Amino acid sequence: MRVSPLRFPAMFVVALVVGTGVAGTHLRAEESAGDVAVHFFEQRIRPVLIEHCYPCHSDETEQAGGLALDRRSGWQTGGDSGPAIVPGDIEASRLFRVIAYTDAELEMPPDGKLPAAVVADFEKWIRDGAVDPRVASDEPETPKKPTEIDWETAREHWAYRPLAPIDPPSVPPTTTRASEQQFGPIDRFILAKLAEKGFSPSHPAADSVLLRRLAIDLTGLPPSPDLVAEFSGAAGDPSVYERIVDRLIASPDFAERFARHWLDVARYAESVTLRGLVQPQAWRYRDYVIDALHRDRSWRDVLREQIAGDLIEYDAIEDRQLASIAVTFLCMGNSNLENQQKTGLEMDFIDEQLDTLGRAMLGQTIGCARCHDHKFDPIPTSDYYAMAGVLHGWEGIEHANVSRWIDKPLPLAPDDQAHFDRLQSDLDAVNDKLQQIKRQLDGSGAADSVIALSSLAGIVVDDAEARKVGQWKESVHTKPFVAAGYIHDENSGQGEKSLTFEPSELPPGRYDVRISYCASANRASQVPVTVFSADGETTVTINQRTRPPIDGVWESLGTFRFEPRGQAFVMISNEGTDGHVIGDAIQFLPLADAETADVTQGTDPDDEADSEGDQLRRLQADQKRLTARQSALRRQLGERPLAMGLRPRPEAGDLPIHIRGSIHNLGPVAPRGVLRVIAGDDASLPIDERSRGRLEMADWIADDANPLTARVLVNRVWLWVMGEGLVRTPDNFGTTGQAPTHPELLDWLTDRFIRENWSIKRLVKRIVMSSTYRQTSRVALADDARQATDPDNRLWWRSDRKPLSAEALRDSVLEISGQLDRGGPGSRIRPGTSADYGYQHDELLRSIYLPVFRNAIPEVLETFNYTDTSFVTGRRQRGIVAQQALAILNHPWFAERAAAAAERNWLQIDGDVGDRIIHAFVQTLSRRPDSAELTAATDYFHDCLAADARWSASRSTNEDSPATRMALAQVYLGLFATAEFRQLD
Amino acid sequence: MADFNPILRRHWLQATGCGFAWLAARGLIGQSGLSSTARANESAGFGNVDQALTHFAPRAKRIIFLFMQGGPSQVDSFDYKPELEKFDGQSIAFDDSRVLAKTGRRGDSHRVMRSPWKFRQYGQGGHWVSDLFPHVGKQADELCMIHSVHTEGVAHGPATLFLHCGATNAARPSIGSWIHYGLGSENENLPGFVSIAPPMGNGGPRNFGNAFLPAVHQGTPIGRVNGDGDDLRLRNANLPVERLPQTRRRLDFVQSLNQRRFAERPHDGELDAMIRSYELAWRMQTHAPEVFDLSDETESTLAEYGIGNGPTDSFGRRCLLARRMCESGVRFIQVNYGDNSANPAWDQHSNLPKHADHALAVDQPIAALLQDLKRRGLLEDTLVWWGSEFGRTPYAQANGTGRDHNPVGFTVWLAGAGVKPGFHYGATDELGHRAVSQKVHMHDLHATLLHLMGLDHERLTFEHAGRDFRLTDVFGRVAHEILA
Repeated sequence: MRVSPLRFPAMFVVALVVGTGVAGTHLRAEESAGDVAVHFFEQRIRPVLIEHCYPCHSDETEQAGGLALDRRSGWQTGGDSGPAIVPGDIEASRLFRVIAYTDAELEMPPDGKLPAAVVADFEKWIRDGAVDPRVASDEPETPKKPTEIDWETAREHWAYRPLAPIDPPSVPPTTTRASEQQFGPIDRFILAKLAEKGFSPSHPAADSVLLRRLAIDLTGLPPSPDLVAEFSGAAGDPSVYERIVDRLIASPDFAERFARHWLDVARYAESVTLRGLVQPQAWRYRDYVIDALHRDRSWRDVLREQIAGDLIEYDAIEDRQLASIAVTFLCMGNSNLENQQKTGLEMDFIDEQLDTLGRAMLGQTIGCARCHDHKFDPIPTSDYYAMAGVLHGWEGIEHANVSRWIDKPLPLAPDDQAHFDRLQSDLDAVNDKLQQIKRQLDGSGAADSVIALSSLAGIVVDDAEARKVGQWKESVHTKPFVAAGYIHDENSGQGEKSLTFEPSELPPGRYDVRISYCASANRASQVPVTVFSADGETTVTINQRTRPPIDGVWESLGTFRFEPRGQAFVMISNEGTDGHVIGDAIQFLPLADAETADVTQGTDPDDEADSEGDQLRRLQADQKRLTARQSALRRQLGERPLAMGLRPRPEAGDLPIHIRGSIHNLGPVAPRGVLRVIAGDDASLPIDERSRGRLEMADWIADDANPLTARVLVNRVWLWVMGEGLVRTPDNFGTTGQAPTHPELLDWLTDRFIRENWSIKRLVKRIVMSSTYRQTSRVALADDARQATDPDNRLWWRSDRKPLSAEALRDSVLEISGQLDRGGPGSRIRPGTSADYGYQHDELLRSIYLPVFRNAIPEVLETFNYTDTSFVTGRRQRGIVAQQALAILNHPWFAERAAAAAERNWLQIDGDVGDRIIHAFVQTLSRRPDSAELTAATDYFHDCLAADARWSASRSTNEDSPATRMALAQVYLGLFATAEFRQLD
Repeated sequence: MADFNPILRRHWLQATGCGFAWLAARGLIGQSGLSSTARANESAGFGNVDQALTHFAPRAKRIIFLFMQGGPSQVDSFDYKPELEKFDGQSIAFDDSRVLAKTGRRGDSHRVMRSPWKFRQYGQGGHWVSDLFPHVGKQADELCMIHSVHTEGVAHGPATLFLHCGATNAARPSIGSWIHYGLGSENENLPGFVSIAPPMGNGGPRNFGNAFLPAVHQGTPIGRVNGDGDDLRLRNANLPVERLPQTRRRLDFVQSLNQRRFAERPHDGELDAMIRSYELAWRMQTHAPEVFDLSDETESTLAEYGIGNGPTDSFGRRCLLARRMCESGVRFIQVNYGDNSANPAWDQHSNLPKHADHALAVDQPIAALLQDLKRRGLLEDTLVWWGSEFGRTPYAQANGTGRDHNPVGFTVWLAGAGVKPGFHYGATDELGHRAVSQKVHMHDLHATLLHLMGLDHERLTFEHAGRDFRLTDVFGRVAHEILA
C-alpha cells in the first residue's frame, strides 16, 4: 500500500524532498534477546554503519543499490541483489564479502577498505546472529514488501477518470455585468466559481487592447493600422469582432503562430547539440504541423500520425507522405550520438521518445519510471518497459563512432517510384560492374607493384625522361610506381624545383591527362601541376597524401586538347608545398572512343584476345566512365524526398525491466503494452507483425476514449490562447501536477472538442469569443478583493497579462518596419551547412521559418525566453532579465528595424511630426497616444534632433532629412522597448 | 513606485532569483504563495545575496574555474609516475575506456609511453610538477591536488557536459547555474555567472546553460573562444561612451511611458520587474566597461599575466579579467582555454609534444592569477578550480605519438578558499591510468564544490517535469578530507 502520495500537492513534495532533515527515520532501541549482543552492536557496528554506510544506504539518502542499512529490515530485505546479511552465515552474507573486498563485483565503502579490525567485528557480529535492535518508527515489524500500487485508488485521480461533461451552469444571480457582456457556456462555468467567492468578472477590455490581444494571440502579428481603424469604427456592432476572429483564424498566419506552440511541445529542432550536426530533413515536420493547422485537420489523426503515420495505409500518396513525415516527432530528440556505449544510447533514445510522448500527449512523466516505480504516479517500471518495448521494435539511429538519425525515403506516386526504382537498379548495375572491374584490375596487380611502361595505354612520360630543375632524389621506397622508380624534392627548396614531362610526339586530339604518384602521409597536400595545352595553361592542385583515385595509381588532371606543333607538356612544381613532392609519370590517354560508348555496357575483357596492355587500358577507361555515371546516378537519387523516420529493428520483442535503468541488470520481461492506470489491468497490446505494436499504441493514445489525450490537448490550446492553462502544469497531469482550476469546464470543452472532430480552430474560436477572454487584464482598484484573494487569477476574474513571445516580438518589429519576409514552406537552411555553429540567420524571415539550431538560436529570440529545444515545453518561462533590456536598447537589429520603420513612416504618412508619432503608436501599441504621451514623444523627438550634429535649428521638423528620420527611428526604438509593447494586455 | 506590499514582496523574492531551495526548506513556500515551479520560473534582474541563504557556513564566496578543454595529460603534468620511464615501450594489458564502452572487451595490450617532460619538485612540500608548468609549479604550496578524479563519458561531448552539468545527456543546468540559483549574485550591476571565451562545440551553450532553472541563472558568455581579446565584453553593453547620453535619453522616454503604465497597474509585479530590469541594464552598461577595461592595470601586472606577449596574451587577458570580476563579486567565473573543433585544444591523439604549446599559453597566466589573488587577499574567499573533462592514457595510441582519452583517472587541482594548501589527495595506479585510492568521482567533486560554497548538494534541488533534480543526481560525496 502506498502512503497516499496521490493527494500530495506539488508544494509539499518539494518541501519534503529538500527538507529531508525533518522526514527522517526515527530509531528506537527495543527489548533485545541478549544485552551483550546489543551492546556489541551499539559499540562496534552501529557507529561504523553510521559513518561509512548511512551516507548512501539510508532512507534519508538514496538507498544506493536499493539497500538501506539504517534499520534491521533494510539488510534483511536487502537491495537489488537480495538479502545483504544472513545471520550466522558469513559465506552467504554478501555485505561481508563486499566490505572484506572479496566480492567479485563490488567493494564497499568505495573510498577505501575498512580497517581489518572493523571487518573482523562485522564477521563476529554476523556469526553471532547479527543482532540488530534497530526498527524504523514508521515501519511494520515484518520486512517491507516492494510497494504495490493500489490501482483502485490510483484510478480515482481526476485525470485518469473518464470525461464527465455536465451542462454549463446558469449565470449566477449575483453576477454583475457590463451592459455589453454576453455570457456563453465557458463564461458560465467561470462565473459559477467566481460567485462561490462572491465575485463578478472584470469589465471588457478596451477595443484597442482587445484587438491587439486578439491579433497577436491568433497570428503573432500586431493588427494593421487599417484593422485598428476598422474595428474602432465599428464600435457597438458585435458582429465585427466575430468577423475579424474568423478572418484571422482563416489566415496562414494563424497556422504559423499555432504551429510554433506545438513545436515547443515537440521539442522541434533542426540540429543536435553535440557536434552541431544539422538534420536537413527536419523542416518537413514543421511544414507538416503548419499544414495540419491551416487545413484544420482532426488532431486525433495528427497525433496518431506522429506516432505511427508511416504505418497508416492512406489511399492518396500525399496523405501517406505527410503521415510519414509526422513520425519525425519521434526522431528529434537531442541525443548524445557520440555515446560509445551503443546499447546505452539505444535505451536513452527510446527513453527520450517515451518521455516526450508521455508528456506531450498524455501529460504523464513516464520517464520517471525508467529506474524505479514512479515515486508519485501509478506508473510501475513494468509499464515503462511495456511501452519502451513497443518503441524498441523500431530504430531511429544508425550506429557509428558518431551515430546518426535515419533519413528515410518518402513513399512516392507509382510513376515517381518507378523512376527512382529505375535509377536505383541502374546504380546497382553500375556498382556491380565497377566491383568487377576493380577485381580484375587488382588481379592485374596494378595497385601494389611496379608498373611496366609497356603495360600502359596512351603515351606515358616517366620521371626518368622529365626535365628537372633543382635537386630531385630517386626512390623506390613506396609502391606502386611506374617504371624504375620515382623522384621527390626532399621536401626542401620550395619554389625552386620543377619537373617538366613532355612527350616527344603527341598526335593532335583530346586526351585525358593523368598524373601518377605514390601517396603517403609525408607528402605535400597541394602540389601545383600545370598542363600546357591548346586550351592554355591549367593548374590543378594535387593532394599527394591521399591515394590516387584511379587504381591507386592515377589521378586525372582533366581533359585537354592538343594541336599539331602546339604546346603539350605538364609541369610539376614545389612552389609553396607542405611536404614531399613526388614525380613519377604523366599519362596522355586519347579520348577518341570513350565518349560514345554506352557506359553500362562495359566491354567484357574476356571477349578480347588483345594484348595485356590493351585490356588494362580498356578496363581503366570503362572504370572512369562508370565512375562518372555512378556519381550522376547518386545525384539523381539524391533528389528523392526523405524524411526523418524509423525502421524495423531486427530483434523486436518484449523488453525485460532494466533494474535501476541499467542495461546490465535485467529483471522480468514486461509484455508490450500501455499504461495500466488507464487501460486496465490487462494493458498489453495485440502485437501485429508489421506494426509491432506502434500503430496499436498510437490508436490507444489518439482515441476519444483515452481520458488524458484530448484533455491534455484542450488544456494546451486554452493555455496558448489564455496565457495559463486550466491545469497550470500542462505537461504533467499526474499527481505531482496541479489539479484543474475548473475541472467541469475542462471536461465540457474536451467533450465538445472530441465531438467537433478534434478541431483546434473551432476550439480557439470558442475561447476567444468568450467574455472571459475579452475581459480586461487590468486591476484598476488598489483594494480589489479579488486581487487579494486570488493574485494568480486562478478563477479567471480578469484576463492574463501575457508577455509577447520571442517570435511575436521579433515578427511584430519586422512587420512594423515593413521588412517582414513572410517565408513559406521548404528548407530554409543555407545549402552546404553541415554544422550549426555560428550560423548566420536571415534577419528578416518570419521567425517560425528560421532554422531551429540548438547551438545557434538567434540572439533576438534566445534572449526573450525562447523555448528549450531539448524538452517538451508546454509553457514558456516568463523571466524578465536585464539582458533583454540591453538587447532592446543596444542590439543593432532593433536599431535597423526602427530605421526602416521610420523611413517607411516618412514615405507613407502625410502630415507633421505629430501625425507621424501617432502613426508609430498605432503601429506598435494599436492605439493613439493620449496628449501627455504625444507630448513626451514629441519632446523626445526634438531632444534627439537637438543632439544630432547634422541638424540645424533653422529647419522645419516636418522636413524629411537624415536627422529627422533618425529622430523618428529613435521614437520607434523607444516604443519597441516599452513594457506595453513587450506585454500583451 | 509602490510600497513594498505582499505581492511585490513575492515578486521581489522571485526577483532575487536566489535561494529557492532555501525558501522551500524554511517552509516559506506556503507563506509566500510561491507554490509551484511555474512561480519559481518568474524572475528578474540579478538580485543580491544574503549569506543566511546557504545551508551551512560557506568557505568560499566565489569560484574561478579554469577549464582546460580537450583533456590535458595527467602523467605529463601533475601526476608524476616514474614507472612510466621503466615500462616505456613495453606492451601491457589495460582496460581501455573506449574499447570497453564499444565492445566490452578488457585487457587489450597497449604500449606504454613515457612522458617527454622532466618532472621536478617544488615548494616546501616537494610537489612533483612537470616542465610543462614551471610557473604553476612555483605555486605548488597553494595547490590542493586531487589525483584520483574519474568521470563519465569517453568522448568529448558527453564528458564535457558531464563536467559542467553532471549528466552526459544534453539537458541539465550547469554547475554555475546551480550555484547562482542557490546563492544569487554578490553584485547588482554584473551577471553572477559568466563564461569567458566559451567554446561552441561539445555542448557549447549547454555548458553554461540554465536548462530548466529560471533564465536569470543562465551563464553570460563573454567573448569568443577564438576572440582576439577585444571581444571580452558584456554583450549589448559596450556602447562607446559618447553614445551613452543617447541611450539614456531613450531610456528616460521609455521609462516615462512605463511609469505611467505602472501607475495604472500597481499590482503588476512583472511590469515592475521590467522597469527595474531597464535600470539594471543601465547600471550594467555604465559599470561593466570599467570591469572589462584593463587599461588601469599597471605595466607590471600586465607583464606578470603575460599580456602583450604573444603566446600568453590571450589567456592572460582572460585570467586578469577573471580577477577583476572576482573583485566585483561575480559568483562563478569560468575561464576557458579551448577551441571550437571536435578535437579541442589539449586533445593530443597524436603529437603529444603539442601539449607544450598549450602549457606555454596558460602556465604563466594561471600562476599570475594565483599570486594576484593571494596578494589582494582574494584567495581567502575565492576557490580556483583547474581541470578538464578527462585526462589521457599513459599508453600511446596506435600512431605511437599521442595519448587517448582517459576518464578513469586524472588530476584536478583546487586552490584557495576552504581547501588544504600544498595537499595531495587520492592516487592513480602506478602507471597513472586508473584512480585507485581515495577516488573522487566528478559527482563527488561537484558535491565538494557546492559544499565549499555552503550548499548541500542533496538539498539544492529544483522541481521539474514531475520530480526533483539536483546537480549530483542521486550520487555525490563531499571529499571532506581535502577541506581546510
